[in-house]
Amino acid sequence: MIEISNISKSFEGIRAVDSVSVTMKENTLFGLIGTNGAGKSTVLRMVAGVLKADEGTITVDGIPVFDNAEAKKRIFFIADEPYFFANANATEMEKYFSTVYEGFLREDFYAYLEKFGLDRKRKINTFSKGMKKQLALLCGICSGTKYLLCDETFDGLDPVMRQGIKSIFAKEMESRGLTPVIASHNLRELEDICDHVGLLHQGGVLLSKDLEDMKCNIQKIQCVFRAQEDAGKAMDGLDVIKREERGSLYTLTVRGGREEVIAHFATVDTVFFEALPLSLEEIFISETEVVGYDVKKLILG
Amino acid sequence: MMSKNSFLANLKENNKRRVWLWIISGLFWFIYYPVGMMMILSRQNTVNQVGGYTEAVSKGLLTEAAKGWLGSITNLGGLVFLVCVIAAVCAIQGFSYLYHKRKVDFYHSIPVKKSRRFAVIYLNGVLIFFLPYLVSLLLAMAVAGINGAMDGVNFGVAAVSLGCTVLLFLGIYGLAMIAVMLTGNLIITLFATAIFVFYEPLVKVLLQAYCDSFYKYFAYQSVKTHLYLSPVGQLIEGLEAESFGEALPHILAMAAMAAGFAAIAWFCYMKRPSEAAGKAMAFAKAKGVVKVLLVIPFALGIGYIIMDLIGETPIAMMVFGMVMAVIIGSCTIEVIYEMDIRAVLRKKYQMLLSGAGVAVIFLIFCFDLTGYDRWAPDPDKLEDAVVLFMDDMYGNQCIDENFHSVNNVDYWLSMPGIHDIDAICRFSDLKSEEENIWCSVCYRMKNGKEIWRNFSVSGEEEELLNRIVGSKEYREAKCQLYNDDIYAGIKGNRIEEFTFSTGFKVENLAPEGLDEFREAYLKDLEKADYSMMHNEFVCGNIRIEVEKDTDGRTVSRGFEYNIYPSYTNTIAFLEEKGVYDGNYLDVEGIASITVENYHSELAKAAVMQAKADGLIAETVADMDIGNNYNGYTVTKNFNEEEQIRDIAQALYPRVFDDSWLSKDLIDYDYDVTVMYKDGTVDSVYYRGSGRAYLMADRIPDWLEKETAYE
Repeated sequence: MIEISNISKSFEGIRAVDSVSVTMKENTLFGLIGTNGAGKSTVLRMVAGVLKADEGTITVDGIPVFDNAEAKKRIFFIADEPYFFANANATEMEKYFSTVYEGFLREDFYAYLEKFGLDRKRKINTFSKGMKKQLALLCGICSGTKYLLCDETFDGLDPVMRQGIKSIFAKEMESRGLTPVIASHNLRELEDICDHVGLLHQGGVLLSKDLEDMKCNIQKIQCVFRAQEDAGKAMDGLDVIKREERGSLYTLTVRGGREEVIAHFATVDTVFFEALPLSLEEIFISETEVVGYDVKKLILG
Repeated sequence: MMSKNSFLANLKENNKRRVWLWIISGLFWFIYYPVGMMMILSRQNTVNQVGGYTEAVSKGLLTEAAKGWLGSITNLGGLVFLVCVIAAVCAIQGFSYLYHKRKVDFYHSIPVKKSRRFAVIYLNGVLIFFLPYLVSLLLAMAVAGINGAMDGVNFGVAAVSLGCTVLLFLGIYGLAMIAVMLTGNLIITLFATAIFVFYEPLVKVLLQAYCDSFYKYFAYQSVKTHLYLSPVGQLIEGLEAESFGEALPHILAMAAMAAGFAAIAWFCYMKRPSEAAGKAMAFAKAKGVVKVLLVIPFALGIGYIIMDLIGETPIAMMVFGMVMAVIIGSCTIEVIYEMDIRAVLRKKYQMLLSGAGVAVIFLIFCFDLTGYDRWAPDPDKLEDAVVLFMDDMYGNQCIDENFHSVNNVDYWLSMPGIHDIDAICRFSDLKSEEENIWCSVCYRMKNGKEIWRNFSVSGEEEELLNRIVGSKEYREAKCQLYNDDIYAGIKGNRIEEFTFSTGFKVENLAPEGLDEFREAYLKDLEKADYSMMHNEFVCGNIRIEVEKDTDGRTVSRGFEYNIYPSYTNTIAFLEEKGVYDGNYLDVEGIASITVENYHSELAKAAVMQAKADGLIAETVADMDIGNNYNGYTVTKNFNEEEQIRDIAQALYPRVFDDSWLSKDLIDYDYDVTVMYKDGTVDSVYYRGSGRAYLMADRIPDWLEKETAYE
């Protein structure tokens, strides 16, 4: 488990991260989201032990991470612009990583290279940006580390590759308990794979929750009531976060379990009723509006 | 089996990133040592064949050539510079990843401790230099051995060379590493390295220049020339040492520097924030300190340049220049720090701090706030004093008991100083910068402190000058014949020359007479004082040259002793040996005498008139218009015996011209050249000369008329 406790970091007097506390549980996929400049990369670089927090502590499985090889053995960090040695090819990178990560999965690495169509002998500096990101991800996945920190790594990957990486994540999570931490400003990219999300804004954490909890506790309902009094009756006893009316069509965001909400609506007379899945973006908008943030501005820019 | 993430594995991986440096280092040393050795020996072989030397001589010359090449670092030539460059390149290349955020993210996130990474890069840098160097040196020795040019001495030279090169490398390597740690990009690192190497000597030179300009009685001998932070400075001092014992402190200093710089670099590396990549300075706290430390000497340097250009002490101009320098220096450094021209006026307090520093230092010098010039020795605190008269000490070679050459100032300082405290204090009270007798005085205080002052006194202070120059301590420091050990060293070696010169001719003396000469001369020296040297012409000069074979080479040392008419014992010795007859030269041997009369008074008057008429600028110094004297010079040649005899009795050899000799005794308007009958102008002996002045009271009247200007 990665425990970030009240960390802060400033660069030349500018506070990039301000009292952030987040817990990243094992065997879950943690999504760290936020706008540009929110502090995602800084948090990840601190978790990777690259930067030293001005205040607070970061531990990986209980071990402080900064300049601690024991903790870093459990982490592989893929920066937003991954670095490869000049004129190196994939094989040379594998050889290097094999010396620093004792559990590097060489066979898996070469197998994945083939699957992804990456030439092991081709110089990496001739790769496209997307190919470099694929290679960095494969290096990270095969490093054998427990935690994989990815900073905007999915940007630049085409949907097929993204899907491929996600399926590898799923496999590795299942087989050896890999815990990927993915920082991104793109909510849509994370919503179908993240188990837990943390939202950063202006250096601080707005919220950090399990996605399932959020999804289970919030429902989007579209319905047409037979009569106006039915609408009034339906609203009674519901925690309605958001309500929109377009003619007779009601779109409601309601807090509560799915079964519970459907059962509630069964008691009222509706012409049309549908319980829709909420996107991560919608959940965040809803959740954060509650605490007073205009998240549309934050996330959608 | 090597553990995957072991130190050696890390070392190997790091080496893969530095292959090009291995190749450059390997090629350089290979070409320099074995290939260079082959070329040197081949050339020497050709010279030997052309010269038709015997086998033994050829071998000796080859060995000497090999020695020169193996020990080329000790000659302090270009190799020193190249070793410094290699050291800086190894340091910068090894840690250059710190300049790039991507690389920092990569290296600092992998499971290798910082301290191990530092050790790996540090050691690899050393190996990149050392292994190719050592292999090439061994190959060069093998090449020399195959050519029969290796002997025990050359092994020693190679070992010394190895030690010097490695210590120099480690010192500069450490300095360059510190520069990398403190900075965030290559350009600034190069600047920082240059600053580290040159800051100390430049600041020392600047302070010395200020002392020299502002203090009337500043003595440069008081400046410590040691460069405490320079491996090159220590190497130079170590190689200049005459013995291993003397060199040892410098060797230890170089080793300490290498270790110290590496420790500082390690500390900075451990503390260096990863986010410093790409920035000018890695440590925010160091920015201000560095800026102030650079701006202060820069501004003082500008002030000095203005003073030097104008040629006096233009306070207003200097202050203006220094203020501008502080502003420009501070602004420029801030722009470099921030990489942003808009940052030009940020951190104004640092500018003010620099300005205050410059002002304080300038005021200290300008108004002599430390009381440097006002200082006078306290008789109660003064132990003794060493008085060095520039005109009475330079030119004399000093040696130690081991026949090693010793700086004559160092020798004087090693001798007891003058204990006549009253004379020293009164002498110091007379100090001026406008009189004709200049001296440097080292006051040795009872607390062990040494205080130097450089000043002039009037030659009219004969009583005080006699007390000092005539003191036993002064004589014993001036003449090494007093020292039994040194004299034993002189006598115990090959006497190559023991001669007496009249200034025109040189006569040989038998080396067996050395003891007799010493006894007579030391007895005479008791009569030596300022008045004697001021009022008496030198009537001859004894020269002793001694050679000693040491470490396969011949070392030669020469000593000269002036003889005055008052030195009756020495004169009696010379008369007894039949080499002194009271005359400077043998009139019979002279073919002709050429006399030049410069008529300098006329020339000066003409110059003054030309200045008054505006033909020559008033600012032109008289000495700079020497060409104007030529028009008044009258040159005449005399070859009749009577004329020659008449002139000869007035001749005083130019080689004996002594600045302490009363100027009234010689007429410097005349310059005389003696032509000998054998056709030579100068004597066949190098110490003799045909050039002479005329003694003022012996100039024949007819000669004045003959050389009058019409």
